This record gives sequence, C-alpha cells and structure tokens, in this order.
Amino acid sequence: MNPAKFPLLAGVALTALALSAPVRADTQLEITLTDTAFEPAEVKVPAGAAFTVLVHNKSAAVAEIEAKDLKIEKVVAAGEDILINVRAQDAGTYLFVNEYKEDTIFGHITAE
Amino acid sequence: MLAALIIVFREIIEAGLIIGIALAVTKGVPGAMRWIIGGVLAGVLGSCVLAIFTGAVSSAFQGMGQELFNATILGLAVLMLGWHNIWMARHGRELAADMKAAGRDVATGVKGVGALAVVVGVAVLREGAEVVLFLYGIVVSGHESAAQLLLGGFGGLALGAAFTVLTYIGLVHIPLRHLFAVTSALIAFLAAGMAAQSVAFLESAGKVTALDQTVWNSSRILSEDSVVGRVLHTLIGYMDRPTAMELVVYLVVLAIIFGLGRVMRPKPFRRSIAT
Repeated sequence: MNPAKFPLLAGVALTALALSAPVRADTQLEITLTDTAFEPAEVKVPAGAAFTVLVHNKSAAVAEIEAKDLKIEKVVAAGEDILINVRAQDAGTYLFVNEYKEDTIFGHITAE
Repeated sequence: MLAALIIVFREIIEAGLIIGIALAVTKGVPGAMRWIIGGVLAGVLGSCVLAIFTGAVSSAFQGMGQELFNATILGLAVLMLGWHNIWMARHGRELAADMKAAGRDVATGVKGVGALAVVVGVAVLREGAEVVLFLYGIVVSGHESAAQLLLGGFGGLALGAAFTVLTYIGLVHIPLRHLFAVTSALIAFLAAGMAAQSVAFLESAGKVTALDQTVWNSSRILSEDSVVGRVLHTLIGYMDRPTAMELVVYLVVLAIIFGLGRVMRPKPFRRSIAT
C-alpha cells in the first residue's frame, strides 16, 4: 500500500468512529442572553455528569459564549439559539461570559 | 480600547504563528510568498462569508454545526500538514541543494507550498470569523467609544502580524542544515495538536464520547488561554485538560507523521545500490 495514504485512512477511520457514537443528553440548562446580562446568571448542575446548555440570544447583537474552563467557545447570532455540550466537570464554580462584552456580561455555572 | 486589542490578539495568535512558520518553511521556494498570501486572503474572505452565515452554520447538524465545521477544517489542515511533511522528506534535500542554484523548477516547489497555503487559509478562517463579527459589532453599535474600540481591534491585528514576523525571523535564523529537521518536527507537532483539537470539537459536538475522562488538569499552572498557553497550544498542542481520546489521537498522529517522514526519506546511498 502506498504509505502516503495512511493519514487519509486514519482520518476516514476516525470519522467513522466519530459518527457512530451516540449523542448524550443529561441535565439541560437554559440561559437567555439580553443586551445587558445573562438570565439567570447563576446556575447549578450536578458535578461529575455531562450537561447541555441552551442559550437564547435575545440581545440585539451577535455574541460569543465563552467559558474557558469548560472549553466552551461558541458564536450565537442575534435572535438565534445555540446548544452547547459540556462534559462532566469536577465540583466547582465556572465563569462564563459573552466574550465581546466580557467585563459586564457574565455568569457562573456551579457544579456540586 | 485595550480590551478590544486583547480580544482580537488572542484570537489571531494561532493564525499568526502558523503564517510565520509557513513562510519560514517555504523560504526560497519560488512563488511561495504568493501562495501563502493567497492562503491568508482566502482565509480572510472566508471569514467574512462565515460571519454572514453564522446563524445558518450554528443551527446546522442539530446545533452542532460550528463544532463539526471546526473539526472538519482542522482535520483537513492535519492531512495537509502530514502530506507536506512527507513531501518535504522526499524532496527537501533536493530543494535545499537546489536553493543555491538559480532558476529552479517552479512546479516542484509549488506542490509542497500549496498544502501549506491551505493550512494557512484554514488557520485564518477558524478564528477570523470571530474577529470579523467582533469588529462588525463595534461598528454597528455606534457607541461613542466605537472608534476607540476599533482602533484597539486593529491594534490587536497589528500585534498578531508582528507575531508572524517574529516567528519568521526566529525560524529563518536557524542554520539551513538544521532548518529542515526543525521545521519537520514543528509541523508534526502542529499537526498532532490540531488533530487533538479536532477531536475536542467532535467531543463538544457529542460525536466522540469514548475515552472522555480528563487525564490531567494543569490549568492552574499554565492556562491554555494565557498567551504563553496559546502559543504552546499551537506549537506543540499543549492542552491544560486533555481527554484520554485527545491524547491518544495526538500521539498517534505524531507517530504517523514522524514515522512516514522517516520511511519516505530517500536513503543516502540509494543511487549506488544496484536494485
């Protein structure tokens, strides 16, 4: 076999593996982004379990939802909703922000 | 203004580094500069298009469009980097030897450069759309401070460009006989890091769930989001909280690219051995 094809095959194998895995849905949080804040800004999830966050962007501008410690970085257009998957987290409080206005628009997810 | 500068700079560090590496790797290849710049321009153009269709991308694939898009283009970049390294292993020596001679075959160089131009385009495209959205948001907000913010944003872009220049200068000062080894290793690590990140996006999309336990947490020692963390993240794929799957993919891609580079390297005395 032509060795140059190895990376390609690896890529194909990986994709096949990826697409065969099921999507998990556990706890779902729902957060609304307004022009000035997240509502609610303080939310809780069980520690050690994956969860999803549904964000409604009711603000007039596009936003980037970011939570560095949760590895979330996702753009949401004005008036749109996005769904974010978060993998199981240790107990603790995690900051999330609208990166475009991170000094004023933020909230916390507490895993406990 | 400073906040805007930092936001934009943070987004483009990765692209800045990759452009610098690509320019250094292809230094002396005729027409390489044009290809790399072409890659950057295509990335910028793509970013603008992507910014316009943000809503559509987000809502695709049950809301996982952004993750899958990122995973796919990163995967593409990994293949291109891998292919480039194999190509360099085969032709790097001839290229280095030919570099001294004028009038080298342009077509030979272009093959290797094309792959890197794609990688550069992908790097710009990935974070570029966010920068476009951010700057656009400032413009349409019409705040009094908009001009200031915009200035900060462009300051961030300039800083990113300076990063490219620094990377390039740093690399081209490596003596030519070591340059090939250094850049091959750099590209292998770059590819492995991108592959792991592609997996991270697939994990976010819920498409990969196997081996998803976190192997270590070094975010308190060196956050992946700090400037140093970001640079290391790009260069060697540093992750402050990798999953087992990300780690496995990282090591496998690294092994494949290094291994293939070795296998494909022409034997030093090949021509004297009768076959």
